Parts: sequence; C-alpha cells; structure tokens
Amino acid sequence: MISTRPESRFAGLFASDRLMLCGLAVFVISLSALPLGRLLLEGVAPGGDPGLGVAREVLSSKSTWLATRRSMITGIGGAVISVILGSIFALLVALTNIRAKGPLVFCFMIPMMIPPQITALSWIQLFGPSSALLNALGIAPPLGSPHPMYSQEGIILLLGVQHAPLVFLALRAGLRSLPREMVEAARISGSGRLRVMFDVVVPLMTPPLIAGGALAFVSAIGNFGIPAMLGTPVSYTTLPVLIYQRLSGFGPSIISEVAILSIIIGVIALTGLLVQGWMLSRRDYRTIGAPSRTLDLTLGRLRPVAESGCWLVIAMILIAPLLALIATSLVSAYGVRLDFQTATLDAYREVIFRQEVTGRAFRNSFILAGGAALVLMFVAIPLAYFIAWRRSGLTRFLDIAAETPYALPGVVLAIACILIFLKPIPVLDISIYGTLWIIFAAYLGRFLTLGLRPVISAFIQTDRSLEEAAQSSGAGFLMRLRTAIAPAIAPSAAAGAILVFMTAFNELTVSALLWSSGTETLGVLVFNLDDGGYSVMASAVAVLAVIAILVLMTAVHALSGRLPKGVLPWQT
Amino acid sequence: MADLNITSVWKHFGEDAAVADVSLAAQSGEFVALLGPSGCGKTTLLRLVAGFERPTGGHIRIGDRDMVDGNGLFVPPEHRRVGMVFQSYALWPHMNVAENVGYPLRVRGLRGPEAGRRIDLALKQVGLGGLGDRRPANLSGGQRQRVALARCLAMEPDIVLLDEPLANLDAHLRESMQHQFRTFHQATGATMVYVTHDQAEAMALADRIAVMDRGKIVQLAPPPELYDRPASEMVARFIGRGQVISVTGAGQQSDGICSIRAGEQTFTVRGQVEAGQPARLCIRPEWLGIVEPDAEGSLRAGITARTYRGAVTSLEVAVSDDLTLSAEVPGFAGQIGDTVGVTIRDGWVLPQ
Repeated sequence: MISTRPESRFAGLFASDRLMLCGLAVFVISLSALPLGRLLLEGVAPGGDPGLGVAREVLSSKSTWLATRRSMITGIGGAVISVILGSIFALLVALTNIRAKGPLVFCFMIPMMIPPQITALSWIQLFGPSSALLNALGIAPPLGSPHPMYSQEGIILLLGVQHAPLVFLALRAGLRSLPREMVEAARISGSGRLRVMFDVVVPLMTPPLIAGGALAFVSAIGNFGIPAMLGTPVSYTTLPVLIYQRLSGFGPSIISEVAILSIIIGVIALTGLLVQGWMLSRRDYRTIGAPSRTLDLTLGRLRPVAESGCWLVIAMILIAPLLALIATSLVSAYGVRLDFQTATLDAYREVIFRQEVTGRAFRNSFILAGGAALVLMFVAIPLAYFIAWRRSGLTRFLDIAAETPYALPGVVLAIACILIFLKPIPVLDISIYGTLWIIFAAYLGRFLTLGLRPVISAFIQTDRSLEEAAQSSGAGFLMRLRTAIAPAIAPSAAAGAILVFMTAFNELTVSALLWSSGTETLGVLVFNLDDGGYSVMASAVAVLAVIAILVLMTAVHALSGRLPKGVLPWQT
Repeated sequence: MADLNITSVWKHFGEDAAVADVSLAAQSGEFVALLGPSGCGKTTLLRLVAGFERPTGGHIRIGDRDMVDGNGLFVPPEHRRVGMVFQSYALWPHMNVAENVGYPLRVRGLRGPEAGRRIDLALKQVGLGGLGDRRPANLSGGQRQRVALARCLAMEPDIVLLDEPLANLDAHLRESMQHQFRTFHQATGATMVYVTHDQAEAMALADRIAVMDRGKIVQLAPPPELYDRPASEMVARFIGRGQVISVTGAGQQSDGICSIRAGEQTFTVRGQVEAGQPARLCIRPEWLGIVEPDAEGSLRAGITARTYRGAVTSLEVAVSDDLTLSAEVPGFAGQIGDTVGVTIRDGWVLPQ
C-alpha cells in the first residue's frame, strides 16, 4: 500500500491550491485592479478631497481638447492605414499563390516588434535635409526645407505602419479558419472569383477586420514614441505627449490633472473596444464547418506584380528606414556627407565604451525586462492553470484584470502607478517612487497578459487528463503542478517570457513617465538622445537595439516547431 | 438535366496520382454513387467534375458541353451549371436561409418576385417552407443540409454533386435524409453523383455504384450485382463484409454454375472455374449454413467467437487452422466452443 498524505485535514481553506489562487489573486489585483481603481478615485477625489473641481478645470482647458482631437485624428487615421495595409497583405498571403510567404510575413511583422521611438527615429533619418542616406545618395532636399515627417501626416503614416501587423494577424487568422467550402459553394452557384470576394469572403471577414482595426486604433491612441518624436518639433501634441510634457514640466504636484487626462485617454480606448464589441454582437458570423487548407487562388500573370508590390512596400516601410538609421549611425557628425572615407564607428564606440548612461540604460532595461519575464513566467503557469482549467467567478475576474493594463494605453497604467507608489507603501513603509522598482511594478502589471496568453492557449490545447492521471496516482496539487503540468506547458511559458522580454526591453511609454536620473531605460535613452540633438548616437543605440530584437525574433522563430500554435505573434 | 462523360481522367498531386485514368459515363437522370475507403480518390474525382481541381489529363463533358477537353479548355466552376451539396453544408452565416437559397439566382441577376417564388418553391420542396428568415446558425444539422439542398434546387443545375452530405449527421437523421435525397432525385430527375464511404448509403440510394480504390474505379455496377458478383477481392471484402477463401475447381455444371472443393467437401456455387484449377471464392456471411455437426456434405468446425446482433447472430467458425469463416444465423444461436457443421449454400468465384 502507498500511504497517502492526510490532505483532507487541510481541505477547504488551507488546501495548497486555494492558497496559491489567493496569492495569485493578490498579485494580479495589486498590480492591475488596485492602481487602476486608485486612478479612477483620483478623478473624483483629487488629492483625497472629493470634488470635481480639477476635472472641470482640465476638461474646460483648450489644450486638453486640442490634444484629444489630435489623438482622435491620428488614432483613426493610423487605424485606417493599418487596415488597408494589413488587409492587402493578409489577403495576398492567405488566399493567393504568391511565393516566399514566410520571409514576407516575417519582414512585415518586424515593424510591430521595433519600438515606436526607433521607428520614428529611422523615418526621421530617412527624409529631411540632414538625412545621411539621402545626402550620401545626393538626393537630399535643400537645407532649411521642412521635414515631411514632422507633421500630422507623418504621425498618421507611422502609426499605420507600426500597427498594420495587428490587422494582418487578425485577418489572416480569420482567413485561415474560413472553410474552403464557403467559397466553393459560391463558385458553384455561379460567382466568379472577384464576386466571391465581395459576396462571401469580405462579409465573413468583418469580425477580424473590426477586431484588428479596433486594436490598431487603441494602440495608436496610446502610442507615445511616434507623436512625441514627430509632433514635438512642430508643437503637435496628442494626449500621451501632453501628459508627458505636463508631468516632466511640473512634476508630481499636478498628478491630479494628468490623472484626469489619462482617464480621458482610457475612456477613448475603452470606447473603441466597446464599439468593436457592439458591432460584432449585431450579427452572427460564426462559420459552420471545419477549416480547410488555404484557398490558393492562382494569380497567373498578376503574380509577379503582386509579389513585387509586396516587397516594394517592405522596402519602403522597413528596409529604407533601417538603412537610413544605419547610415546616420555611421557618420562622424550630423550633417556630414557619408561615403567610404567618412564612415566611422565612432558613435558606437562612444555609446558602448564611453557614455556611462548608455551602459546604465542597457543594464537597467536588461534587468527590468529579464526580471519581469522571469517573474511573469512563474506567475503565468499557475495563473493560466486556474484560468483555463479551474474556471470560476474569481478566475474570470483575474483574466480580465490581467488583460486590462495592456489593453489600455501605457500612460494610464504609468499614471496609476505614480499615484499608488508616490507615498511609501503602507505597513512596509518603503518608498519605491523614483527607483527601478516602480518601473518594475508597472512592467509586471502591463506585460502580465503577454506572458499569460501563450500559456492559457497551451492549457486549452492540452488534455486535462494529464493532471487527472497524476491526481489519481496520488499526487497533491503542488506535486502535480511541478511534475505533470509545468513540463508540458514550459515551452509556451518560455515563449511568453521571451515576448515579455522583447516588449519590455525597448519599452518607452511607461518608463518615460516613471524614470528618474539613474533609472533610464533603453527606450528613454534613445528618446533623450534624440531630444537632446544627439541624432547620431541615438541612431547607434537604436541600431544595437534593433539587432537585439532581430536576434531574439530569430531565436524564438527557430524554437517555433516546439511551441503550440498561435503562441508567436508573428505566426498565428 | 444532362449526362456526364468522364474519359481517361488523371489528377496528380506532385508525383502521386489521386485519380488514375478514370472513365465514367452517367446517363441523364442517373444516380451514381462513388464509394470507397478514405483516400481512394472519390472526392478528388467529384471536385474534378465540379471544377475545383484541374485534371492533369483526360476529358470531362456535361451534356453537350466540354468542361475539360485535354487541349487546355477548362471551364471554371461558376460556368459549369453544376450544383453541389457539401459535407459541412457551406451555408453562409451572414445570409439568412432565403438569401442562401437565392444566392445562385442573385448571381444570375434574377431578383424580385420571380426569385422569391423560386426560393419559396425550393424551400417547400425540402420541407422548410416558411423558414426563409432564419439564420443558418439557428437551424439543426438536418435542416441545414436541407437548406443546402434547396440552394442546389434553386439553381436548376445540369448535374448535382453530393460530397458525403450525411457524414455529419447522426444515424437516425441520416435515414430520413436518405429518404429526402431519394424524393429529391425522383422529383427533379437530376443526374446525381454522390460520394460516400458508407456502403449502406450507396446501396440504398444509387442506381449504380462505382467502387474506387487507389485512384481507380474497380467496379461500376448496380448495387445487387456489386453484392452478388463482385469483380475483385477488394470489392468483395469492402462490400457486405465479404470473405474470400482459396478453393479448387471441381467441374463446370452449366454456364455460370460450377462445383468447387473447400475443406473435404464439394459445394455448388456461381461462377466459372475449370476442374483442378485454384480459385478465389467470395462468400457472404448469410450464404453459409450452420447445421448439425457431421451432417452430410458439411464441414466440421468449432465456434470461436459469437456476436449477438439482434435479428441475427454472427459466428466465427474455425474449419481448420488456416480456414476460419464468418457466418450469420437468424436469432440467438451457438456458443463458443460448440462443434457445428458448416455448408456453403451460395458463393461467387471471383473472375481471374
């Protein structure tokens, strides 16, 4: 006989699984629900005194509405470009027989993985009178002419490019699950290919298009790096930039004011998501029938045209800006004409070996991103277990609470974290404001869902009998988690951790509001260098960061065979 | 309605031939079933007729129109006037039932009261009158299949193709839908090609069945002929749980009737075989008789397995170490270990 441990004595309140669920609930709530709740409280009771005076003041300010309008314009404009670009690519890749789809998709996804401030920087380096690339080619516009990217149109274009992969992924996933028979039934009813597109494919793709468009809108609304770098020189201010300017100009004393501003931006994002939900609920788009292999429309003579069009777009939105970035990083001084004689690695030497702040920023970002990835990996496995396999009211709440800080613009959580950590933490009496820890706490809250989603989908794809077999063998909860569940889920948890790392490593929006001298992150560094006029060094740091991203993407890509489907954002 | 002529059609996927040199002629109004194990090429053949696959060789002709002529002519599916009922029904969730059924009419530019009349008629014919406003998601599986059938009806096709249309339905519903298809066929007189892996379904519905194996049609015949006179071992085994044993010819009695020796006994069966020549004999379980042990002209055998099936009992009887037969006897009979006599009451010598 195998003796069983008297687990029943602790059954109920003190069972190990219950204790763990409680711990996870405390973790999620204190990093997500609590700060966001505190932010809402600040809106109706600024500084602890109930009253709407501050709110009225902020809402009646002209600058508030100007920034709101500009956020809306750039958000909607960016989403429109994302939808157009993303759906053309998705339709071509998912439905036709164009060649080299793998490299094409990989390249199309890269803008999403490159942080916005670097995207903006590279486009700034691509155009304008001082462009090292254009000067090297001798086609730069004359000195003194306005830079085309420093404008509303420039912001819209880059927001569109940055978030087009979101639409692409949503639509491609939808097209992949579109049963082939849906299209064939229309063909056999007498519809030609083009007509099938409009009668069947497009209507059935409404949900992913709406979902992708909404996601692109919400991401564009919350984007800080692009409008900050392209708008600031021409005083074009969106809400996140306004919040940043207020906070860096006046310090935490005007926290109540920026709290209202971040509530406005949160409400806009939430409205976007609610409108999406409402549009989708109006009709039943569920398709019946198993998804079949891709449709493979034969393009015939049009194929080379479509292929070159795709690669031309990639060249324009990815390769040219990156080349411009590299070109700038190689000149000896900004404005110097680049050729084989003047090309120099001085900027790299400077940022790697001489500038103390660069090393510090790399170290800070590495510690923050690595720490967040590691902590979230260990949180994600049990949390996903409860969310996927042990559903209850509490786990559903935790699921939403984990999602919210990432669904809302980054400034919202950043302001919420300032509010909650400005004063020392009660009981412990430790103040983390102004230290790395406040950025760390914000990262844990913001990126929790990135680490969690892959693990949840792995749990959903895994048969629960895996656990039940261990259970009937007599293994207690922690034993089961450690020996039967975690090993099966580990690859997805690792993939999630890598996603967290990649996103956090170059993050700007949150750290821009939370950093102080000594706690600069890599994102802040690029932003500050450019802001201070050190374009060459900013470009050098950006090139190093892009290399780091590409290495990571390639490494995870190589692992993809061992991961469950849908874990990597650039794959589905 | 039109006849269908498939001549020497090939379809390669890479190196593999999914359909290899298949010829099939269906008369106008005929109901032909394509039957075979999965991967035999039956669905590919159907999709070649529909135009969803392009053959790598051969001719396909519907009525007096060439669809594929082997010289580069390829009529796309939308111009073939062929109706198809899909396994997954393929109803568009963004259209209601009437819009789904009316889609082929809309594509042809037919709108207004005339279209409405034809939609109503098609829905009535499949027993779904008045459900035009429903969404496909709110219908049962059987109702969805009827809508798919009505959509097919509304387009008044030359030929109707059905791709395992009952595979997603439960056994009870399948029965009633079989009835629906038969009524549909009688009412419209349409030429129908029906793909299935279920032989009972094919037997119940088809005028002729084409049994396919590894890309080829191995036998094309009316169901009774397929059952009584299979052309090959594969057909014999695939249809009606047939068994094939080795026997020796013992003389021709008349045209089509001969004697064979199996075990220590001589039996009279159908077919042609010369005396002394080895042959393969197809036996259906119900063609065997179970009699008293040592009864005259019977083989002595022991019962090794028994499965009670309600109306009949299936018995496995071992005649010798290398000869075990499956028999079927009415009612509840036999016990494992019993010794019995086995007679071959009917059999079919497979053509060499």
